[in-house]
Amino acid sequence: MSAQKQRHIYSHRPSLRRTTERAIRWFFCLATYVVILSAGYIFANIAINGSKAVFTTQAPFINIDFLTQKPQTLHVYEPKEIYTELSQNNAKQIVLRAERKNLGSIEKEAAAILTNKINALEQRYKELDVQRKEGRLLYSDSEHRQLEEELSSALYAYSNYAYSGGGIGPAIVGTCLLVAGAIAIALTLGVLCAIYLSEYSRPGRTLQLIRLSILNLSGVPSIVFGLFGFGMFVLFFGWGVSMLAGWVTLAIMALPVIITASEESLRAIPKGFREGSLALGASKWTTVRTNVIPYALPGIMTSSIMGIARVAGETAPIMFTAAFALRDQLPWEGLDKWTDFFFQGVMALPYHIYVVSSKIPQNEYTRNMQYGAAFVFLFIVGFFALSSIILRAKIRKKYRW
Amino acid sequence: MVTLPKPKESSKPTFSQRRALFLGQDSDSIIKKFFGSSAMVAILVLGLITIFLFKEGAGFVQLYHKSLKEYRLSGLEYVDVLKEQRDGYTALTRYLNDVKADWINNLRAEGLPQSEINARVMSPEAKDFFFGYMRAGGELRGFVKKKMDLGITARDQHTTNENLRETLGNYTERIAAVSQPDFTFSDADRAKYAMRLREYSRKNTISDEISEAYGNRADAMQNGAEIEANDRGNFVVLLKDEYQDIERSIQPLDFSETIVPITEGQEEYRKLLGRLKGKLTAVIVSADAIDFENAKIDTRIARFKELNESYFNEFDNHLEKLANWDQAAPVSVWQALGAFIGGKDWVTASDQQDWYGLLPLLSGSLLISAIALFFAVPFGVGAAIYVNQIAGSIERNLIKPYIEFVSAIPSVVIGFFGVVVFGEAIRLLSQFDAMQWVPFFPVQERLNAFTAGCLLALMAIPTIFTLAEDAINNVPRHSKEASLAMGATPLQTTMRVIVPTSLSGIISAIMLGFGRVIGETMVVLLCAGNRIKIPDFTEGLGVYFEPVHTMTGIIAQEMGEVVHGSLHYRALFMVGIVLFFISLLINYSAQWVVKRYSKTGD
Repeated sequence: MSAQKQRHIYSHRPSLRRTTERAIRWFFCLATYVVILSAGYIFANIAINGSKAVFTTQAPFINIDFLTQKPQTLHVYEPKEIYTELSQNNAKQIVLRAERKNLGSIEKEAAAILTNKINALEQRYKELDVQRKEGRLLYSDSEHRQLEEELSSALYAYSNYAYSGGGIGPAIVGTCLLVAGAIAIALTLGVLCAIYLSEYSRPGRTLQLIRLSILNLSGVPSIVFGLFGFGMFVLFFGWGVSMLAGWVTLAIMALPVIITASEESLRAIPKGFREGSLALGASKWTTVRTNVIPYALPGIMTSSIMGIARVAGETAPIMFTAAFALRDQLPWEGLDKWTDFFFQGVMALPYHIYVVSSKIPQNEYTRNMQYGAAFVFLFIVGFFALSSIILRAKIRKKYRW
Repeated sequence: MVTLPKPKESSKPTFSQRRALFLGQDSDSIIKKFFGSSAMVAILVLGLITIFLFKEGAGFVQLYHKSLKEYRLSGLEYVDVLKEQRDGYTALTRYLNDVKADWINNLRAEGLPQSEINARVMSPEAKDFFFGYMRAGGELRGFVKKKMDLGITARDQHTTNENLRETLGNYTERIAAVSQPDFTFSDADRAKYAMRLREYSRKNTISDEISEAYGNRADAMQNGAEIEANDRGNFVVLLKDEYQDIERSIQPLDFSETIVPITEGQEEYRKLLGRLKGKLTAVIVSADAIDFENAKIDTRIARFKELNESYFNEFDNHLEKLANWDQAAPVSVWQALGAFIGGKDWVTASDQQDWYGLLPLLSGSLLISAIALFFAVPFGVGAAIYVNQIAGSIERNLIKPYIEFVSAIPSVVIGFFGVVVFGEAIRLLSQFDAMQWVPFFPVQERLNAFTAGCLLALMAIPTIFTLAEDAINNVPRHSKEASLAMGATPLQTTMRVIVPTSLSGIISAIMLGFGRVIGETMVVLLCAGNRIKIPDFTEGLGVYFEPVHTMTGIIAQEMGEVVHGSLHYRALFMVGIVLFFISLLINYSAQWVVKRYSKTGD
């Protein structure tokens, strides 16, 4: 009783309601951090595993070969003796495990003996595995061709893995070209459209229709854009699987993002800027050119970078319009005439990631290529996304009217 | 917007000095038109997308209608009815095998050594029962196989004829073109002509002279000789010759005749079924001789007997169905459309009949979306409430850009993560002994609807979060302040004032999140398992761990391999149309919800 009396009448008292309230607040907090952590785990997983492929311990610290070379088949030679012993070891383990499983629940002693045997085998397996890694030879296609003589099959066990050797040079180049072209088209159209919408348009049926179209376009699934691009540009226009078809398809996809964001930044310019200019006798176009666009430019830049992040990250629209699974030549190599440049398919990082994660088996040899490509791609897209986010935050601080 | 009073068009002020530059327009209005035209691109593109999807999808119904008509005419439909009973028998044998495997596992679990198990399972009584049951259906299988082959042959012959007729049409056009006096030989024509000549000279048995002359002429053509006057005539003759060859190779096919061997022998079939019933009943009785020593197996065997009874009872219905089948029954165009929208199979490149049914894909898409939203809605909305109402300003300024950044992770990277890490993690987790209380663990497939759904949830959360946070942010300050002033706690204020006020915005955020999930391609293509089958909803919660296929996934997977203009190609465009309209519908209803129920600003 005395303890309760000391408490001030306005002080907090424990109550069921307060506890539930706190619990609910914790639930919201938890929800937020679960999202943050699971996304963070994906970043960390890809960054850690991918950096093994992209970075090296020696001087330039970046694996230039991986970033510039063409994808090649990886040829693996493992020391035959160790390889045979490993597979025997593995087979024994499987047999013993099956035996242990088949034992009745009563035969505990026999089970314990088997477990010991299996553990011994596992120990041996690990030792052998280290030896195998020291003794194995890895060759990419070009190196493999240069070998003076075939390694004898008595000494080495041979296996090969498509796409796993070499690097991702053409894919990076292809992605950059695709994004650059698409964004150039989308930015021109998008900014012009935004200027019209915010400066020139008068409310009416046309304007409503334009807005409705933009809104709906932004919701259309990317694969439908791909389907459209395939039907229209690749087949109907006869451009084939080409960079041009990819550009236009991606540009159409980026349009709504760019229009909406650019328009927003144009509208943020205070009316006074325009009215002042008009009051001094400037024409509409002069007003827009000198008093609106310069101030909206940073915002438009941000939107374009956001568009880049969106365009670069998409796979579905380029799957059948622009991307090749494997192409040995860089886009500027082996052209008959300059127009061919636009009508050739290119490798692209997102499609390459799709191919290496679905079409080849997953093991220690293919892992490097898979994670490396994903890491580089995530890095590129993340760079653009991050810079657009930071830029926007800065602009919001800088321009306050 | 500029709100200056505009001078009226009719009464131009005297100080108007603008020159007309082009077509009577001054520079400002030209610029305006220029900007306006690029704004029209948005409408144009949306219109083009719609037109194109419809243009490519349009032929689908017609082609599918034709295909279904042939399916009926060739008797393959009749064969499929026949197959029902065979498939029923196959399902029963599968059930029996399952029982056997179960029995063996139970024996093993009891701790019996392998030799003892073998002795029991291979005892004469058990052999009689298990193998006898499997052997009994040989006759039925043979009968159905024979009919099926007949149907397939008829259909293949029909398809071949159709193709040949099409070729003949091409030849007719070609002959007409070559017959024109002003026809000139292109390089392709020359090559073709030389080839024809050589072939003719090889085949011609009438006179050595002619054949030698033709052979020489062909060599000359190849060496770049000039085209002479009589070459055109010769070419026409050769083409006509070939035309006749092809025409002769068409074997006329009458479906009303080919159907006879398929549908005949119904009486024989009735007897066959009767014999099958006799055999099976005898075999089933032998099951009583086996002592399973296990109550569970006994109940399963009892269930098996029940299933057999109901199987036998089906016979009469089945026979009646066969007797009532009518080759001449018409197939309407609507049936073709219905077979697409309500079709339960998606079978391509089959030797019998290709089916393009939307249901397996739609149900897969919806199942994955349901899983994704199940996770994304609480997390997305919860995070939005937390960030806007509970978190401090530093936390808010860090979390908001972070989640925005998460939305930029490319879907293919998330899919890759699912294939390499997440799917495997789920399988390992489900194999832990501690997790065995979950009814459907361990999961069979590492890539299933659940894997894809979880990853898609992560993609939908930023969308839902950003829009919901916006909606919560738009709640007027005075509502919140009024509530607090009345003595409500912060949480009461949040849950009873702020969330209800912004509910329309939150709902539209969830809808747009749904739109993002259902339109996502790469994650489902990589992680959903890609099995084209309607998920088995009778399994309860286990359905979430089945591999499925989706609408977006099927387009991405099959579009690269189809023949341009084929039925398959058009079917994929139809799926695209469905997706397009689903996304429009979601977009539209999200807007409608905001407009209709918006309470903000009142």
